[in-house]
Amino acid sequence: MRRDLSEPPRFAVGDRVVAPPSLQAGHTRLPAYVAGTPGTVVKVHPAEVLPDSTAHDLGERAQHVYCVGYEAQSLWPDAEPNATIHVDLYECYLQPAP
Amino acid sequence: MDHAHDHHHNHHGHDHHGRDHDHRDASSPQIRVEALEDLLVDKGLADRARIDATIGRYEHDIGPMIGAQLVARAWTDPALRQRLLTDADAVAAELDVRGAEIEHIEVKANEPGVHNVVVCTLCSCYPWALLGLPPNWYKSPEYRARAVREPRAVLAEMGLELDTDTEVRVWDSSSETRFLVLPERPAGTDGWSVEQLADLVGRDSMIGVALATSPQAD
Amino acid sequence: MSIDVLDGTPAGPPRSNGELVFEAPWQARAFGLAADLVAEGHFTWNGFRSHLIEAIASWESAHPQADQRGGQDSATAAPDPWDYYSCWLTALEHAVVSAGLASTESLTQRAIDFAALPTGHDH
Repeated sequence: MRRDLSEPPRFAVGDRVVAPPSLQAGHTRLPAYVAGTPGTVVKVHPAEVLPDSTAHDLGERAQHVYCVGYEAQSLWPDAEPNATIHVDLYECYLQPAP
Repeated sequence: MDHAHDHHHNHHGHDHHGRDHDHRDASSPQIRVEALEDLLVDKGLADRARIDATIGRYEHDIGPMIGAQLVARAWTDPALRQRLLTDADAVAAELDVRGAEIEHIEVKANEPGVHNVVVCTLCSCYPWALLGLPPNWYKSPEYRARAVREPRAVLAEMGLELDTDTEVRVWDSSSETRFLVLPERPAGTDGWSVEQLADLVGRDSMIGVALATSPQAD
Repeated sequence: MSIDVLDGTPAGPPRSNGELVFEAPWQARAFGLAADLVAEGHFTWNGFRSHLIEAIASWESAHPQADQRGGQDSATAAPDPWDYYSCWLTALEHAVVSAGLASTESLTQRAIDFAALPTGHDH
């Protein structure tokens, strides 16, 4: 479900972000293969209800959602060249990349 | 529905009524789903006629021909194409395209040097409203893992060899957004009608594991 | 139900590629039942999806080779072979129970009752 959020998005297009591996547990929409690897925000989607919290009865916790692009070779050193993997991630999954 | 065809695809020993001749096992999916439906119907929470209607819709009315029409129209109408790429939800709403799933659509256009391919690594998310329910291979553990890990290899195995200087963009459907690939219009189709063009747009080309069919290749 | 889509042209059958939407009737029932419960507001697709992701992840963690090339073929020969709609059904049962629509015990009991019926019974 999309929601209007009064708080502005924490990240902007072009920002480098990372989903810490420690967040994995209980966050069902965080694909394991991107955890710990920095990526680049390519789009800011409208905010959505956080599905993890509705599944666990914690309220809606609406979140901004970001399309984050990862160079395939940053995810896997032996990956194919010239490929970008895009994953949509909820704001609470992400931190600024160091 | 063609029953002969139906039987052909039935490997589990049940007939077209869904009843099992080999094992009436309480833990079998046939019995479990029968029990679940029966219990919920008894409680007034589900309705068999509505379930029948939903199944019928996905078996007959909702499928890749909806997406193919949209692609063919985008090929013939640059303004529609532009709107589709920037706000596909608005276009879908205008055209009264609706799926059962609350979903937001983004359309990703292939162009020279850029090829898009769609996956859902977590489960099986797919633009139901435009393509119907996904094929088996799309839901398989192998495609879901390998489409991100080695997309070129997967595409090559499925018959699509990409130049190394073509960038592959993989879209993993992890949030509520669903992706549709807008394939490139094949050469040799100048002056074709939307209906003629839509016949060139296969389901796989809108997932990004194939190109639109070339007229001479047919 | 209108099947007119887009510019009013009637839709053709979605099986031009030769694939059936459902391979067995129980799969269609499991799909249709989930869709009905969502349509009636008992839970959302997003909530159901959480259970589906968990059911698939649970099968995959028990079959670590299935995500590799040709892995599905070997997974098919193993006990508890890959079956998408089995995961779907497990997720549906979990969604029904966690929404408080029925208890696990009542589902199990109803399944035992059905299993005891002679083949070909009618409701």
